Amino acid sequence: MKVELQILRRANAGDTPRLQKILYEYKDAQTTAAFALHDINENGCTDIDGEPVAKIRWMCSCMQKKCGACAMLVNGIPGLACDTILTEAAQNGVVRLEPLRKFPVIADLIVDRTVMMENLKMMRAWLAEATKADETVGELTYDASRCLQCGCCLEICPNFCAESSFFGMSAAMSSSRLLSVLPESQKKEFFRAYRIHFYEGCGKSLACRNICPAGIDIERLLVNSNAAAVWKRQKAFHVRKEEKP
Amino acid sequence: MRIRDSYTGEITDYSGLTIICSGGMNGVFPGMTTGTSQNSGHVTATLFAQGVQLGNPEMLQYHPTTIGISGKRCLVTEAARGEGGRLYILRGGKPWYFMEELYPELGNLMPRDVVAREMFFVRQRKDSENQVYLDLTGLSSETWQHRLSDLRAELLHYLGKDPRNEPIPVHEGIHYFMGGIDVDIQHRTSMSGLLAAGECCCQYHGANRLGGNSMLGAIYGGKIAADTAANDDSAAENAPQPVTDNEPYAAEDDAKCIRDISHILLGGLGIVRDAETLRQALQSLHQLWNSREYPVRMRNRFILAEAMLLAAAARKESRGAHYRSDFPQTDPSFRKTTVAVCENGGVQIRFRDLPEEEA
Repeated sequence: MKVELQILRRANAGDTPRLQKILYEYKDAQTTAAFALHDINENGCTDIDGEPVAKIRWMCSCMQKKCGACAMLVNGIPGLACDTILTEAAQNGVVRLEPLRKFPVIADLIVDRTVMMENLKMMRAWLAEATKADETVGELTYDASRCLQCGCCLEICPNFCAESSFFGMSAAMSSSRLLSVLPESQKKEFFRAYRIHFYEGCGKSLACRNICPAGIDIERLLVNSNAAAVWKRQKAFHVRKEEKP
Repeated sequence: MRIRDSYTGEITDYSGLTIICSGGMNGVFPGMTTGTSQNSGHVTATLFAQGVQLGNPEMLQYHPTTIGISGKRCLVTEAARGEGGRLYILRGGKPWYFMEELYPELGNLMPRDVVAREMFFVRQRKDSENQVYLDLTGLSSETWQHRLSDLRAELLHYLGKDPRNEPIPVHEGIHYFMGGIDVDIQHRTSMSGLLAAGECCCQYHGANRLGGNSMLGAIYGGKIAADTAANDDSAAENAPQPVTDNEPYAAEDDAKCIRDISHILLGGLGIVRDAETLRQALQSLHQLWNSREYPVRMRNRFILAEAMLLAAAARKESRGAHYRSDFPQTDPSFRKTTVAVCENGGVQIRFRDLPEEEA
């Protein structure tokens, strides 16, 4: 099997980007873009102009959709390289890989997503004291905990940009986990942070809903987070036994 | 300590104590473990070559149920057997549920080392095919929907197989490194000012980690290490500083050589080990080392590999994940921690008594 990989190359942030085209051959129908990038880097190859391909810089950790490191644009749509099966992703035989655009580029496919963690710090999105989770919040909290903080939702969001005070759906997912077990002492401050940094900035386009590589039920978590933090409903996040989350 | 950000290349100097959290040595076996490719094993190799001691480096955990996906081994959770999954092999063309026959009490739920070893043995049999399957077809739709939905999605996505309808071919795979940087109960390494926590260090798990128990090292051990560092009022500035690797990103490790070393290691450190295969592995390692000149980064990897093999050769008994076919019994005199240290350019192996409260 063959695919034309087009990779947006940049040696560093200041470099002029150029699209390098590589004819990549593979044997297994389940081969992912992540595997291809490893393969090319380890074994070397030439591009379609016969030029040797310099080591492609990209972020990779788990290779199985558990960490979110390899988020990038795949044929223009944000996704994970390890979630991208070449055979399925190819359009007219081409898979184009580019860095996410909402974050500063470091080199090739690597972007600096520090802002995501900094935003969580600014919201003080952590438990300040030990707390106990009620078993009825388990399923929703579990779903929120599947968030990889990969940034795909921010990339597709019409409201998010790295400099804005709106922190986007990835911050809301962390907030969901917190809101479901938030101790009384943190409520006032965190409800305010949630309102300012999420609720007031979200235009409800829900573009993030279909892009999440973890397939999180974003809408449902959003409804429960808003109920808890904005509408102060005590029963938010509590799922009754007979009710399916 | 001077740290280089491997993505930005930025170099930053930090003062005070350092806690190493570099994870299991997955990169020693590239593509052959269930762990992350970012845990390259390079940190352990670098520190070991500079005199930091290792504990139990021979103790590798093979998980019974892993599948090969694009570029790595992917874990099939133990919960799949907990929910009723059954292991079988085709013997004379018919499914043989070997774990249930061999261990009627616990069957498929025996500890990881036992299941992995039995899988290895049944695959060697002349009357069997060399492939073990995990049969999950009997699980209820309720289980798939509420308890194992992630697993099914993973198998569908990466293998193109629906575990509700067909058995899943599984294979033993390296899953966890019980050994690593030797630390005391406060998580201090043998180098003053340097601590280690998480899978990179040797603590808690002895010869065999139990399922779900890596949290112990990650959360509890991480807290202990942090407490130790926070409460340390010794003059950390005077502590010897390990030399970190400050080469630019382009100076990557030699991928082919790392693979060659990993194949040699697998030869000696498989599920079943013996003196002869370990001797051969050490010999091949020395041949590879003598075949050309290597940069310091690679030299460190050779030294680490040698320590793993020598430790396995020195432990002349079977215990947990370390099974020696030439010494199949557990020998109480080896109820000790294997300590590997790199001194004067050579690897020394010795055994240290367990602290009294553990013994």
